[in-house]
Amino acid sequence: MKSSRLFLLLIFSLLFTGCYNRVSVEKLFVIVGIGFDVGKDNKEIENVAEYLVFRGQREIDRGVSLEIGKTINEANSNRQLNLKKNYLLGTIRAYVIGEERAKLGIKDIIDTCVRDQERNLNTIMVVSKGSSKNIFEQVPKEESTMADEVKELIEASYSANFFTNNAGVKDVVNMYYQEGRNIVMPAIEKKDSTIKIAGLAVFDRDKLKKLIPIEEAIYVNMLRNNDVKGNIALVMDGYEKAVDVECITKRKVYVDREDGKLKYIIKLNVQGEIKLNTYNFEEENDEQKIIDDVKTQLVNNLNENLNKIVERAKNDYEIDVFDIQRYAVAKYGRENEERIRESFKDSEIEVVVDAKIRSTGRYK
Amino acid sequence: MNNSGLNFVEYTQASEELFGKFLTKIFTLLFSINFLFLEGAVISGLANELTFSTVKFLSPYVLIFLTTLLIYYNSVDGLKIIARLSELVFYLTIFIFLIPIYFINKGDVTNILPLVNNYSSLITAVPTTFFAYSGVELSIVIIPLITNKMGAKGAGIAACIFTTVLYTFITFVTILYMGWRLTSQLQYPFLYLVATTEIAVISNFEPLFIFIWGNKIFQTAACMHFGATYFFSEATKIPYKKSCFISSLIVALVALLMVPEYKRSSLTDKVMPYLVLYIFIWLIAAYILSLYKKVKRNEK
Repeated sequence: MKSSRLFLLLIFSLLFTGCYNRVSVEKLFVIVGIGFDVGKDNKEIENVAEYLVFRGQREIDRGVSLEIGKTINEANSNRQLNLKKNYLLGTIRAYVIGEERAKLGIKDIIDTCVRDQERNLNTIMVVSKGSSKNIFEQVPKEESTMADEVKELIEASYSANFFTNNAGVKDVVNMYYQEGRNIVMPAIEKKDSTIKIAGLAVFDRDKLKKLIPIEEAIYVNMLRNNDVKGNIALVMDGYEKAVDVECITKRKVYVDREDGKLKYIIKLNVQGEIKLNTYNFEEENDEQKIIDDVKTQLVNNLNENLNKIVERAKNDYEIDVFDIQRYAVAKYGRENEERIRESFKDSEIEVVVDAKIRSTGRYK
Repeated sequence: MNNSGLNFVEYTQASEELFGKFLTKIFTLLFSINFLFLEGAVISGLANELTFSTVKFLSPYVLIFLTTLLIYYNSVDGLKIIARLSELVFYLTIFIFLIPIYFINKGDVTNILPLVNNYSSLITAVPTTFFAYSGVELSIVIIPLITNKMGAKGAGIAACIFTTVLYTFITFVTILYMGWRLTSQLQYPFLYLVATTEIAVISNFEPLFIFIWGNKIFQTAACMHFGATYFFSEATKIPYKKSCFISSLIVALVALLMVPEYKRSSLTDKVMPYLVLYIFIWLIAAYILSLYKKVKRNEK
């Protein structure tokens, strides 16, 4: 009696739970990349999609389609008018936001990326110099699609130039919502027939404020990120007299108030490994002396460059690119957030570099 | 059975001696309404979240129907099967503990600082956490029905501590990772949190969490259904098996009322404070009265 009741129950459940009338897998497109641009008069949205096409057994091709709509999802449904297969949004590997679009604001992109449950939160999000069309128009070389190339590019950037690997939608959303923070995304650009990292894109709330070129972005990264890796070149006299130090940084931020002004102290602990040293190579010096020499050179170099970037941030970017205001908000309460945001220009930022050479490599 | 402090009597008997027959009738009915509402909210919550995340192709009504059917099947034979189910699901609950541990070093401590911004908002927020713990009143019914009451007190305390720690820990980790602003704007903050992970093969923790959590919710609803049925049959004097069926129907109807998530939250926001207040008053009144009135020991 009991088992028959259970059996009936199971049969009953099976009858109700089927995928009848759903699109099957072989009838799906795989969308891998989406680009956001603006159309004419900044009123319309241009939505670029890169997708994979499967023809027969082994033939895989890629296609790019551009759709225009008043909103993101209108453009998406317009796409279905000329695509011959259905598509899913969960397979997207990278979002590329055009420069003009980013200047107008990306509130709608953030909203739909969080709200739409079909979208993945780990998708890479970058800003492109120029329009995103230029990126997707290229022919991929190393990967099968441009979106994959963008993703790999950003993920690989982690090991150098003090970049972090926090470039997913979730990180952008966190930067947007958390108090005292600004969105900072990696920026890419078209170069010859491929793409490269162009620097950092800094947002004020949801609008692009500034694209920082890569030479400055390295030092911004250094002050901004904790536990990142990069190379610092100390050039005395051409490449024949130079020292390369691979640095891993640890960052700590302290906030204080000094005569009405906010004072940030960024303590940077740099652990260096000498990778190249042609400067003291021929001299038969004491090992300790070489290390001390390199250390002071490194600290001086960093002090100079970092203070330069701090000045530039205060006077030119006029926005907190170092991600330090969150510490002020954490200390002085969230009701002061607006005041802290506005006072960035007047606040004092002190960088304290503490370097340590961990190893000199195979040579002494 | 002569352990001091563990002389539990059955609910109706105790209530009749404390409050009299007429008030007991009303209180029992109110308790049954409380459990029916809670169970309906839990089942509709399960249906809403499942259709939102994993089984988009199903209608929530089908899910509600199937869940109530399963719960009916589970609780029609009394407490024993529910107890077995609870024991089984308890070990799964430990995994819910393990998932947030993954996020501990991913958050930033500035998201929870300053710890106290102003005290008044801290105090006004306290009652809302009571709703999360409602359902504990089930112990009024269950404890007298347990044959081996030796470990009841310790297990009760351990369960309370476990639930509180789990709830606080999950809330803490969520805010540590996302900050309060996003947490307060999301429909399901913890589901968002588990969806942000990147793991090979299963891509993220979301399906794993939905599986464990779904089991847990099913068990919770089954327990509540036992409470609802018990009080319903005590109040109306309909035999247990019949009232189990009737209360299933009522629960399904209540759950149908709360199908889109916004309807559910607006309804629970309106009704829950009264229910929690009622249980609070009942418990305090029962405690005070029991200090003065000597309740006879259970003969059974």
